[in-house]
Amino acid sequence: MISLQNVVKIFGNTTAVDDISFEVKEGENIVLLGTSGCGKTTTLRMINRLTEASSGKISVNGKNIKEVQPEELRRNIGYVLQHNGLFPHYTIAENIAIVPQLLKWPQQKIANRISELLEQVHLPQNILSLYPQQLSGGQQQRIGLARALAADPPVLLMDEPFGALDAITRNNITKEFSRLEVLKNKTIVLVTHDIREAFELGDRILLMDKGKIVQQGKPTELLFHPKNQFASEFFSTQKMQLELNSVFLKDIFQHLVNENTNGNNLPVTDEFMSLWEAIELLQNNHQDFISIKNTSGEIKHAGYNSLFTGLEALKQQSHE
Amino acid sequence: MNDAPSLFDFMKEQSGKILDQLLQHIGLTFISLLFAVIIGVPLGIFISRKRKFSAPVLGFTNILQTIPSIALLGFMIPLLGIGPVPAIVALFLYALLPIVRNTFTGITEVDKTVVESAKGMGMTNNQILRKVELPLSMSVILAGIRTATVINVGVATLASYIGAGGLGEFIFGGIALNNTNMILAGAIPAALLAIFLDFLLSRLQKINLKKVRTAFWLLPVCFVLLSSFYLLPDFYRSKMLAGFTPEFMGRKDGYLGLKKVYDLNIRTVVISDAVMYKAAYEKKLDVIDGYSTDGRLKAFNLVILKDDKGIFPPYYAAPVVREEVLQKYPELKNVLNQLVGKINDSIMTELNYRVDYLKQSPEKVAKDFLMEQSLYKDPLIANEGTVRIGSKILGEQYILAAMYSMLIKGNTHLQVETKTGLGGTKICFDALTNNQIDMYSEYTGTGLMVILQAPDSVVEKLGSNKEKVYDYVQQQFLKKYNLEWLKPIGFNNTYALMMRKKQAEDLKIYSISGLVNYLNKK
Repeated sequence: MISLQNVVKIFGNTTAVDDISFEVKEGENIVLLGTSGCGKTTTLRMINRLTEASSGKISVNGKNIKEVQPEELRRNIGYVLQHNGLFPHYTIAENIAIVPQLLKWPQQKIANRISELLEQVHLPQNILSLYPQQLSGGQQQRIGLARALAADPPVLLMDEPFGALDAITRNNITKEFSRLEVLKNKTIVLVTHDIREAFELGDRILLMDKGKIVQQGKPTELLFHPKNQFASEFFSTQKMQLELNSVFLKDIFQHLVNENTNGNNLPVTDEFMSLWEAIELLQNNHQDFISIKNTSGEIKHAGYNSLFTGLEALKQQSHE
Repeated sequence: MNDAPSLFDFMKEQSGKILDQLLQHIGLTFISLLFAVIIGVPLGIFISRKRKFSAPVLGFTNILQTIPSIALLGFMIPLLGIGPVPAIVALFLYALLPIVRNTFTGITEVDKTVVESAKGMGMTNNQILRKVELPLSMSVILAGIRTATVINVGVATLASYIGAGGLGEFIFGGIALNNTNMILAGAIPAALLAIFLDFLLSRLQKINLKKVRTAFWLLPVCFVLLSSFYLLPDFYRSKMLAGFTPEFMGRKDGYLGLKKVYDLNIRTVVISDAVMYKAAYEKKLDVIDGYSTDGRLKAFNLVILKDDKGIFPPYYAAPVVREEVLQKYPELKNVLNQLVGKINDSIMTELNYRVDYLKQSPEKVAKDFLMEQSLYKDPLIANEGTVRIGSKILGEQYILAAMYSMLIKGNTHLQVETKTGLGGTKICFDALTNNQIDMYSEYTGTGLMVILQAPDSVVEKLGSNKEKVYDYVQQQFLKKYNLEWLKPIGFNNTYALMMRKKQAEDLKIYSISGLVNYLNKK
């Protein structure tokens, strides 16, 4: 769907993006992760030509983007910014309608599309005539997403989409976004410096540093097999939480020791829960054990001890 | 100024004129503002796009702003003549800076993320400008227009100096005539206009962002509408256009008298003395007021219309000398009287022309003339005391002072000290009565009207009879101030109406009555 080949961007004397190549498959969500100044935003902006590449080739949907009018290209690529960039002098409805208007859709079609989108981003219809500053930060961000999706573009570029929100809102909205139905079939390139966000939303993560891709792969691959010093240090501060979040009960089911318990009223769960959520479940119910049932019907009772032992066993195994 | 009518009475009496001037004022303000918006906003947009031009453009408009308004109007005259055009150009230049600067600031201060997202959604530059940048910077741009409007209402008062009308006619007429009511009748409406327009635009600025888009189109329409006020009075134009100084407009022995005695009905503009003659020469004006011995009369080939009904009092020049000086140096009187009968109106005009227009020094002109008349003698040894001669700031007075100085030095053993350039009548006269000078040349009419401030009944009785006026001031000065009026030199520097020689000859207009007849002819 999107491919970058040997892309370089030079600003004056500094090389912001240094010979990057990667592909994004249709429907795939990839995350450009890195500290500020690593070139991730520049890489993103080159895809819709907000920044022109110094050299290299970028193509979207099989077409070299140099051969498409920039405006034409951008109208077919959704773009979500950190500070949402909603027009303060437009109502919510007008904001969402910008791209369809540019594409000269009939009014009725636009109106239908707006109300459909509001539903999809879980916002009430009665906000349509309000102005952006009358909404909360989280709501504004959802409108920003709805606006980017208005003309149903197959590709979505997101530049730190939750960066301007407070930590708690960001956590909730990130989770919500990852489950939104409308985003399921989109090809998404997302830029972030937030490791948890990257793990939550990315099918694949491209870790960047000094304009180069340091490592790319599935979240667990980066976590358990850091390629070099930079990669392992990058994740170290939040390592434990990341591990708990990115490992699911099904991954460690085979390593779990079934513990003997006498209680029958244990909380029950399937195997698709992350380790982190399982621990939350234990705490919330003031229990020492939970009852896990996998897809083939096998049941295991596990406590804190066996969950962590299982995680260690998994890590041992993946290193071998 | 006795029995001065109240301000309210004055304004009521002059309400028609105030309204005319107010409409002209609004017209001047808005025509110039319209052009400033048409040029200034796109210029502001341009420099917000091409930043490297912003410093020179803003710097240049800044400089324009620092030029004193009266000087800017002065610069306009050689380029554009007189009347509304140079006034509008000057006002336009003043309005430019706030509009360009605010447009530039407004657009550059639009939230970068908003512009970025507009671009990211595929808006063209033109769409971004129209749909994002202009609407979002509209309140800042309006603030600039608001500043420009208030500046223009103020500066437009000066437009009356170059014959463009407006409330300045009353303000400067009032200053020239020392008539407070007249000043206020111009100043109060001007101030109210500024406050009102400022208020109106401040409301426009606070209007809901949503309606701004409508306001953006509404504004030019309002401007054009308001601008049209200025053009309306031009529909009832008469055959000729007269330009009068603010002072002449308000004097009984000026325009008011012309209307009353001659029933003169002509379209007038108020204009400053400095540009009036040239404007007549360049056919911008057909009739002007002026002084009958002014050198520019010759320079610009103008003729005086005969005052056949005698409304302008005689202004015969004569030396006024302190009585004690004449007693101390008895020989002085005869020496000073040597000029009597030697200078008539046309000779004085010629002499003034040499000084005012050919830029010869008054001393040279005086010496040449005395030589011609065989009155010049080389200075004698001065050992018998000093005579101090004063003069007003006026070419003619410098020439006379120089002649008297040469005559005294050539015919007596007295030392002469000249104190020229003593401002106006009041300063010269005070210097004389306070023993700072011994003599200067004064005009009979000025003595009668300004110094003695003779009551109306006396002025009417004396009329334009030059002997009677001379006798009256001569007696009164001696009695009241112990000052002696010597014999009049012979020329009459009075108010006069003038026209271009060619036009007057073509139309066979030789007197003011002739002018009135011509104007009244259908």
